[in-house]
Amino acid sequence: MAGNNKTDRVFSSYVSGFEGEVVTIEISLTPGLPSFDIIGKCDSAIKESKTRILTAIKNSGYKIPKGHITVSISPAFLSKTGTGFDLPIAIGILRVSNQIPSYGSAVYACGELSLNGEVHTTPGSMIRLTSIKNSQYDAVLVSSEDRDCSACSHVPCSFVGTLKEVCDMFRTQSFNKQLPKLPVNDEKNQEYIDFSVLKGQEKASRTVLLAAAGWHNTLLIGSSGSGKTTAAEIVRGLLPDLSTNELSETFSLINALGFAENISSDLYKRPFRSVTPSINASALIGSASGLKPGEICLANRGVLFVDELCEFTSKMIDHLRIPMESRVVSLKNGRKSISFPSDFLFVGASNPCRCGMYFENPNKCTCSKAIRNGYLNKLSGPFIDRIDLCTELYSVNANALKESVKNSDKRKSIELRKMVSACWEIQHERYKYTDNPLALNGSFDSDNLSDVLRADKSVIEIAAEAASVGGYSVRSFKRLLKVGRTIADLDERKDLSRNDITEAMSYRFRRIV
Amino acid sequence: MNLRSKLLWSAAVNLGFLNNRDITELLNLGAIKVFYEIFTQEFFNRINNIECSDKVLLKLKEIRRNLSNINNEAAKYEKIMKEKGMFVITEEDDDYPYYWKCLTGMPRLIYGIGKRDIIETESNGAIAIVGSRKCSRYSEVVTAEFTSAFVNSGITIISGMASGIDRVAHQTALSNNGKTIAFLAGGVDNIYPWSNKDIYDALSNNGLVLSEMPPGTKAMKQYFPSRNRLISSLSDTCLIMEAGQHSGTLHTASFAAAQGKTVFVLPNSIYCEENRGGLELIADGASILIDAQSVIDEVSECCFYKLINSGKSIISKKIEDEINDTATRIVDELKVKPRSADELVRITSVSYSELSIILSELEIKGKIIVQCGKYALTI
Repeated sequence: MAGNNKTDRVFSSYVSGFEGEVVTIEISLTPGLPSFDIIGKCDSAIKESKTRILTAIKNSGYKIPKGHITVSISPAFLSKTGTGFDLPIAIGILRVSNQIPSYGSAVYACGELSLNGEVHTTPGSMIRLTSIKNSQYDAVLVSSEDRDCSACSHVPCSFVGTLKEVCDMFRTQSFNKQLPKLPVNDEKNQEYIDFSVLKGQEKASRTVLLAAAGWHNTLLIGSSGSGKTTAAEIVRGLLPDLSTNELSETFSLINALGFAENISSDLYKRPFRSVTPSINASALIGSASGLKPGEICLANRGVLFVDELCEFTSKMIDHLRIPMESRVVSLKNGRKSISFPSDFLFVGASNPCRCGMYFENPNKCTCSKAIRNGYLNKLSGPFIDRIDLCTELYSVNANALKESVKNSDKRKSIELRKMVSACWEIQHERYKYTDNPLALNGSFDSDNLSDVLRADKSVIEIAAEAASVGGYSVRSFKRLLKVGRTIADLDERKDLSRNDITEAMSYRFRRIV
Repeated sequence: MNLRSKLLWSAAVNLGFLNNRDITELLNLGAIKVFYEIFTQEFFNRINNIECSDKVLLKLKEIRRNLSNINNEAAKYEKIMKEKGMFVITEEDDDYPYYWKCLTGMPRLIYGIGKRDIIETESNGAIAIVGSRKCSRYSEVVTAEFTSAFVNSGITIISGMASGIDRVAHQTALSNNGKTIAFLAGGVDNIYPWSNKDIYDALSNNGLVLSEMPPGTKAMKQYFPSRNRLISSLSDTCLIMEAGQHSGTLHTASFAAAQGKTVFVLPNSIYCEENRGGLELIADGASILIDAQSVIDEVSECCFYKLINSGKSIISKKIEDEINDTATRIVDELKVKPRSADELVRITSVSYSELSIILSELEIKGKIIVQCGKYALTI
């Protein structure tokens, strides 16, 4: 009987957390009464695939071989999930029953089958393709819906629409490998909010510019209606569009969550995620049990706007602390730990006190002193350390508006966007050969900052003096230098000067006395 | 001569011919412009035309009759003053303390010896440090420690040159090259207690000794309470380091409270009899002295208001030398009221990035602070 035993092997992969795991699928056909088993710690979605596979094979005009069909997915000790194994199993069954010829030794396939034999993509195909980037396969078969994933991950694929097409490819032995190109970003069509709405708010205007130019965590404090949300949107508008590298990173995440299958021009816009105090911790950070990324990961390479920051519980605020510094979220579930990138630009907004009037007119503020003190004190010291820029916003009255129009220097949003882009280029040039080549001033860290940032002794001295006056921690001190660096970069100056530091100092958060 | 007429006034008061209230009456009537005008011949000529109360008229006539007596007394003062190098400060002078202008019953004329400019405490603040003559080692140590902290912040130390706490306070201030003022109960030429001669000598060279009593007056028991009112009146806060149950220090505390100053009391053991009075002050609601910083904060707040109200601009003069015109403009604007960065941009028409540099420089120098989102002068 041994001679009749036949096995075949197809490669595939699944998504675990934010990483792809490559698996080997072995299909064996042995004589006996017809049966179909899938083993290898599979979840119910994979078990259900039996019916889909068998129906799809039949509807594509092929036969179900008679005998025991055993499918083993290894490594067997890892729990697997997802419906992408439909296609490789079907290919294996057709090959092991000699209905289609074999091709080479290594075939990779991934895709979900519909009952009539169509091949569909499944969430996370981007991640899966990235995981096989460095492996050699004779053929990579994916759904034709996965063109953008292939383009982003730079893995040439054979795109198939139905199971029948797959069989034809095997029969003719021509797999037609392609590497599609990404759709081009049409920057002119992107619409962003106009910078001039911040007229009359000089400090706030400068702050948003610096935040965008240097990727600095920012805190906006002002009464309701003073334009905090607008200011945050302007920050996003000033940021350069995503580069293709960054686009792959953000796309793989939204692709993993099944939010988007195709790249439209909109995807070149940086993410802008707005969270409000009603959010819970797992939605904000991500959930460990489901290994699902939260809002702070979706804001990766974009803006995380936290509105009404002081209405959050202090525990929630402190959840943000580590990602704001390390730019990565680590979730743990049992022994498994996964990391999601979360290099977001933090923009927080808060009222100065509970009633919100303290900055406008202290006499109109109805808060008691204790409530007022407690309000912003919710922000812990370590959290404040990580805030690079802080600005107050005021409701602009009509008179001030008139005056500001008189004094206006007609800065245009487009010009500022160009300034920010130029500033980013300078920074990329500086950090190109460091551990973190994509870093900007706000996200860069190093032990000998003063050398990298080109700050001479006198500049460090004034910064130290400022730190002792303001009672800064070492972290705040470093961040002061980095903000100073951004100011110098905007002016395209090589060396950090005393004035950069003193200006940077005016943006540090101060406790309201 | 001006000095002579001032001394004549002082002599008349000292000899009991006149008191403060009579002068106030005359000033209010517009009969005289300054208090020492009554000793001019022109004034004596028009005495009968003044519509003052009979009592005052009687007194003035009495003075005219005893003018030679008064003259002799004043000559005596002038002689001592010349010998010792003393000076007088009157309410007409620019350096007459701002606090005294706000309070009633403060001396119109005060005698001093030492460095006259120390009396200017509007910009740097002053703290009264008082306590028992027989003090415990604990309060002595604390007094020395706190005094040096205050002096190093530039604050003037005011005390009464008595032995015990007063002595420690003056001594520490002097050894730290700080400013210190002693108020004596008798005349400033009258060293009391004699055991503090070393302090007196140091004070008359590097500090300031003041008294409202004319030169040659012996320190008498009944003068001490009124001396204590002067100690508290010139200071921004009053620190009671140790006070027995019937101590004179308690007078200083109650004067300070009446003058609206914060009173800090150093807490001590309940078994320490010498500090019974201090503990009772705490029970009555005085602030407890725990650290130097809270006192310094209190003083700087007082200074802030003093400077704004007195309209002096000692600070801005210094800043002008250090920074530029914009800084001066900013400081001038902030004198009116605290302002936000945006308002300052509008006022000065300087871009925020330039303005912020100046603001931060001023902040590093401790001239301005940010309060409820706005920049304000510290002092």
